[in-house]
Amino acid sequence: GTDEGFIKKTLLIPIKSSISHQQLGCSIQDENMAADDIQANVEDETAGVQAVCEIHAVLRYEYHVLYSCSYQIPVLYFRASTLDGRPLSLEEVWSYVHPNYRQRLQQGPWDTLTQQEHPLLGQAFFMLHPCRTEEFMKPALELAQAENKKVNYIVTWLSVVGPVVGLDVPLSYSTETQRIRRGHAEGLKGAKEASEAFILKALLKSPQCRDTEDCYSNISLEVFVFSCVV
Amino acid sequence: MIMADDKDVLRDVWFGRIPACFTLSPEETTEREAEPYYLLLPRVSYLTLVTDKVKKHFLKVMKAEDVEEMWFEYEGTPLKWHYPIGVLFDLHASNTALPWNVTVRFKNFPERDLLHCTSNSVIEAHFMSCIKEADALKHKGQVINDMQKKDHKQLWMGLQNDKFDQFWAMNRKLMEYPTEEGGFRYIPFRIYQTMSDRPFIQKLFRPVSPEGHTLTLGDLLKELFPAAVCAEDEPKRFQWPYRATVIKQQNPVHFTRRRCSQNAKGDVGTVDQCCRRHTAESDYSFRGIGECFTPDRDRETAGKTAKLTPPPGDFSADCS
Repeated sequence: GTDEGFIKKTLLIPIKSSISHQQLGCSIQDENMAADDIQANVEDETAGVQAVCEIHAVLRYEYHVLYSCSYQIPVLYFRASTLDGRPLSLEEVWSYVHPNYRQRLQQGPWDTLTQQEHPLLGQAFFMLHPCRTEEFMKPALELAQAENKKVNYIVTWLSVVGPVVGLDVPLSYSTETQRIRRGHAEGLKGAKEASEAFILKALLKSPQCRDTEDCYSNISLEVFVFSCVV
Repeated sequence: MIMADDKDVLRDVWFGRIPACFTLSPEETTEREAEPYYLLLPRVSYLTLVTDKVKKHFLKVMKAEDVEEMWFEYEGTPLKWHYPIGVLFDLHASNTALPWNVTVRFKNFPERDLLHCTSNSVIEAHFMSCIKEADALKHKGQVINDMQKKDHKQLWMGLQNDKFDQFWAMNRKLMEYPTEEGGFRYIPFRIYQTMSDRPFIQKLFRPVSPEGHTLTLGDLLKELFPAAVCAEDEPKRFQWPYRATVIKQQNPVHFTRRRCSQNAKGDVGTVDQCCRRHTAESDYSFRGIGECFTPDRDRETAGKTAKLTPPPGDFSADCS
């Protein structure tokens, strides 16, 4: 293989109109839900699957993580379509951004979530703009440092930006990567080093799939080496 | 500092034009036959920014229900509006006779391949993000971040309204090359290509070697696209239809940067993997609706795109 590539994850997300418990990132929130209901769900990360599951449609999200040489940080590209292949518009994608994040992002939609050409594939994707990355990574990194914890930059970054656009990063991913990367000291490496440092192939089953096999597909995450791409 | 002779080159780049003929696709539904529309396209601008007249022209013969977002294709390939027009032409049609025959579409938008462009603010956002990325490479973003919002706006308006002086009043700040600080940190460039899936090559490249030598475009190509560079005695394998200027390989790269980057982005050019020579355009004239133009008699040598001087005013009748 070459020294360039990207991390890719495909996720099937069902859309429901009536929801009880939802795990953030693996579901679409009903817009009519009360704010405190949503808050409760966000905190309740181990809630497991919803009891009621009325499927009206399933969406296919495809996530790519690339590294930007210009800004020297990872960037999240994604695209979404219905199962029969119709791509989602920017408006539709916006409507599925978790309400908690939507307000903050909507301050400047053109600055944060935009349609872009994928630098390797040349196709239309949505991109989370990299400009704010340092802003929200800094506190997370500082906290970890203060608590003397080892931090995998990419996992941390992905766990912050991912949920904004429906990508859940299960706790098991972090454990899995630690296990596979046994022997590599992560610490607080820079994004570039972190992203170049590992070669992984991990197949993970999301804990949400346990009880409702018919609602979700098993989520597989295959991680490839990636270095300076653009 | 930008030197006097550079200014001529900058103007040449800015005012470069491509004569185009827009034809409605036979796949579109019309109430009556649509005549083609002729237009001189600015190389430095974007298709969706300069084709309002094209849209108005074709909407006259179409029903509202048959019209969705307008998009363009050339010989079946959708044209990416977010590439500068000059790059699109060089990539797809630089070896064909002028005018550039572009097909207009209003249905079946290729969602996978093209970005949507629903308003000028989308173009502005794209343009500004390119400027910012280029400045991130050149000056760690310090220049663009120090500029005020109104300065950013002036940059965009200069491009939108084809105002060279207005644009460069702001762009010169972005083109500052502080030699005492080593010049640009990295050169912002992209090498576009048609022969692979990958749309372009973009890598980090410093304008000065570790030993302190100023590097040239040739050095950049040798390092990042060696297939394009051949020895002096080998026949030319690649064509470099680069904007309206012939680039000499011994020019320092930062000179190239100023000459080429009308929008501080500095697209280096395109590589066409055909061994064809750039043929001189023959005389031609056009009849039809739109702008009428005749070739400039003082055409420069092969390697430059013919500069066309439109006669004053638009012509809507036959003209030659």
